[in-house]
Amino acid sequence: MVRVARRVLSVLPVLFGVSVAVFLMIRLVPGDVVDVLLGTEGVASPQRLAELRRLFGLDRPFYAQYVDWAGRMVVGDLGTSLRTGRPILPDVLARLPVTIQLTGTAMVISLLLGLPFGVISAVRRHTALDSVVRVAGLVGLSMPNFWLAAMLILFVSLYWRVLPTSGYVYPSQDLVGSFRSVLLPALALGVANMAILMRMTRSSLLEVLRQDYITTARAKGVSERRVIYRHALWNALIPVVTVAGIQVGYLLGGAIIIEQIFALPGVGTLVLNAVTQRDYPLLQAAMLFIAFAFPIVNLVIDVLYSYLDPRVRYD
Amino acid sequence: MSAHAFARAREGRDLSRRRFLSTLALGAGAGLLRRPAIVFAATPRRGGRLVIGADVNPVGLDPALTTAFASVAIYEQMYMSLGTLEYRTNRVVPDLAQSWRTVDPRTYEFRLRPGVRFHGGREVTAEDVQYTIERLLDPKIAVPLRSYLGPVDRVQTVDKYTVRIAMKEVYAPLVSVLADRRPCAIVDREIVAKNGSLANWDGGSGAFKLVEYTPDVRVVLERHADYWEKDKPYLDQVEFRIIPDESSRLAAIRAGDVDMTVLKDPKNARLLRNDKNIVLNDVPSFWRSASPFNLARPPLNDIRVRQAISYAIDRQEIINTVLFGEGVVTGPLPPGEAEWAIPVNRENFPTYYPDLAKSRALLKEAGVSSLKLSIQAAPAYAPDIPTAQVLQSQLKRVGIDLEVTQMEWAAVLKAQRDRNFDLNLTFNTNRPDPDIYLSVAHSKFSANWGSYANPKMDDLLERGRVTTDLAERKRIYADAQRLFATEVPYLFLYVIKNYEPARLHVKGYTPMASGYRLALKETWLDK
Repeated sequence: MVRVARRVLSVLPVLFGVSVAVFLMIRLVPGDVVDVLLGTEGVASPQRLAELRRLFGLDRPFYAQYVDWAGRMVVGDLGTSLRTGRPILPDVLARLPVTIQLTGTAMVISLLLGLPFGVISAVRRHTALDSVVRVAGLVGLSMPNFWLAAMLILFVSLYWRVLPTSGYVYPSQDLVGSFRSVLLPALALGVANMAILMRMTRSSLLEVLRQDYITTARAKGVSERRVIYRHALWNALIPVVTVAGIQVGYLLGGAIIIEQIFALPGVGTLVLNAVTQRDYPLLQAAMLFIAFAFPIVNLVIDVLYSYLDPRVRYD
Repeated sequence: MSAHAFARAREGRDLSRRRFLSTLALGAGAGLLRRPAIVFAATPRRGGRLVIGADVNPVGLDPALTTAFASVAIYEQMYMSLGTLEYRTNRVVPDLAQSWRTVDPRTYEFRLRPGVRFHGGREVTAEDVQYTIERLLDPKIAVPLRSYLGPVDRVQTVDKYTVRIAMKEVYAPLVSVLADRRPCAIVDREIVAKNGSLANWDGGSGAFKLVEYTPDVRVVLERHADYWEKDKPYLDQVEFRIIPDESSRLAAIRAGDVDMTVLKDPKNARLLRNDKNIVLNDVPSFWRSASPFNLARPPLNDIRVRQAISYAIDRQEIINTVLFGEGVVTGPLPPGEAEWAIPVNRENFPTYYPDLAKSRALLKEAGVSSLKLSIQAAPAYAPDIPTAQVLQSQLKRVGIDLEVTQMEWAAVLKAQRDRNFDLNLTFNTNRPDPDIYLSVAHSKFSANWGSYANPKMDDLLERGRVTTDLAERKRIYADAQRLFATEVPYLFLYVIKNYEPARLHVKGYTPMASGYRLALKETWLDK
């Protein structure tokens, strides 16, 4: 418990670093919310422009803006969106579950497909089946997820009418409908990840199967099925779990594009809109939530280790 | 066979022949009727929910605070303005105000329609009009389009339904500006007082009222039961479903997941042309692809160089290549502005007709042997980058090296505002009045990004702004457009088409060149 608390606290320097980096980077990009607000038609004299920037708090030095924002953030006030005037925290919290549902479903799909295929490929090494699985993995890895998304919409939604083309249904409205609305996006997001996990499982399992204790088990007459699933697989999963944890970050990044294509109201869409509209406080808040996700996932991975490998124990 | 039977048989054959001939005649007649919907108009049916695939999430719903068309698409249904626009001609017609007159050259009086109610139930009065306009002029509120209103002196209520707007000087665009809900939608002052703004609240009196606003998901509007036009709107609800990706919207309309949507890319629209389940609803829009020349950067300040560039450009080739022919060459006013735009022909726009020899001669006369320029463009609007690339290849023919600088949209806007560009390609959207379209060429206008200055142009624009006689105004703006074509302070290229594909059961809808959907109150579902 103490270790868990220490791990959570160790996130704070990470969050600080991320907040400063995001704060500076978005302000260094040309254009601000006033430029976006006025667009190509809004007319403003230089005095009026200065006044607008003052209204949005953009006239103060960077460090003053950061200190003001950070000071409010530590007490839970994430401010209001510069573009919509809506409080940020409820909007971010409303979108987090959508992104979690999308990336979680994508991870489940990639594990459900990647692990078995990886096992098959390792066990049937150098056979035609192994070749098929490995080539399929390579194709999955090479396919851009936005292209795959378009193909899935074309065939699954448009031609076969099996699933909706886009849009999101909240679980509170319709549980089955909600699952159907994230299935295609999760597939598009998870295929590349599945390929990575498949290859990782294959190589890790092959490594374990070369160990002396496996040879001993076979020599003792243990069935091959038991050798693989009882003795080898659990040890092979340790590096796979590590890679899966790292892949969460890629899934979150890929979710931004997939959310756009499938019109899912997740944090990714929020981040994209905040960047294009230069909505500084909204972007900073959304990125902090994403940055927070990484340490949490790593913590879960570490806890999983102790179940997979009894030799790993945390004091 | 008896004679009687034979006669009957023969009569039967005769009847059959008559029947055959009459059927043939009917069929031929029917074949001549190309649009049976016009001849046999169906009766509108009440009820139903129209689902529209919207391309962009609205950025707040306050008409005063947002110019984004994503927001206009929603709040134009929720609000009324003093006037409104005819669907096909874009002419100003009465809306909330049933009539108006000029008391003197600088004072307009609007007489409101009695009995119009806000969605909250309260009647719309002259005080609400006064409040709305004063709010638009409030310096404490960041109203992007405040300059549209011009030099307002004061607003006063004469009686419950009559309001007067006094200007500091004559301002002919006022009525057109007040007919555009962007930003002159009349708002419920009590709603603003209660909530501070209208970004997420409904202060309107329009045909539809707001019932749900879930950002990035959907906006749902419901029929205003007390709308002033009897029996309208026909629809019970309108849902704007946010689908940012155009391919996804295309799939949604083809699958029938949405009843109507909007497409920007002609490549996608072409896929629907032969779809028997969809009406494409395409009209040339008011959105002009345009780039100012930065006259602060020599040799762009030399009229011969600008003319040479215009002569080197083949606008129709750009339309054919980038838009697959689905565009129209435009001057500073889009061709759809039938009241004001002069025809794009050789007489009015001589520099629009490609002439490479003339272009090279002008460059030589200007002493320009090799010229390097850059054009900034953003992928935010699909045709912009390809347009810049075609311009690059066209200008190469006359020895001009045009570099295409791809930038993000906000960066393009900033570069424009900072006057840090040679050419800066954007889409100029519709304006309520020719004065506002052409002001970009006035030397003192703060949005004259290219720093163009011509006393003759200034004089024309200033006269046009204070001339209330329609015929005289038309003459002035015709001269201004011809001067524009000769001086070439801006490169105006084409207008794109608006595509609003709808499933066949969507009836009564009329697409507008402005992109506004004011006809939704006439729309009904035949299912």
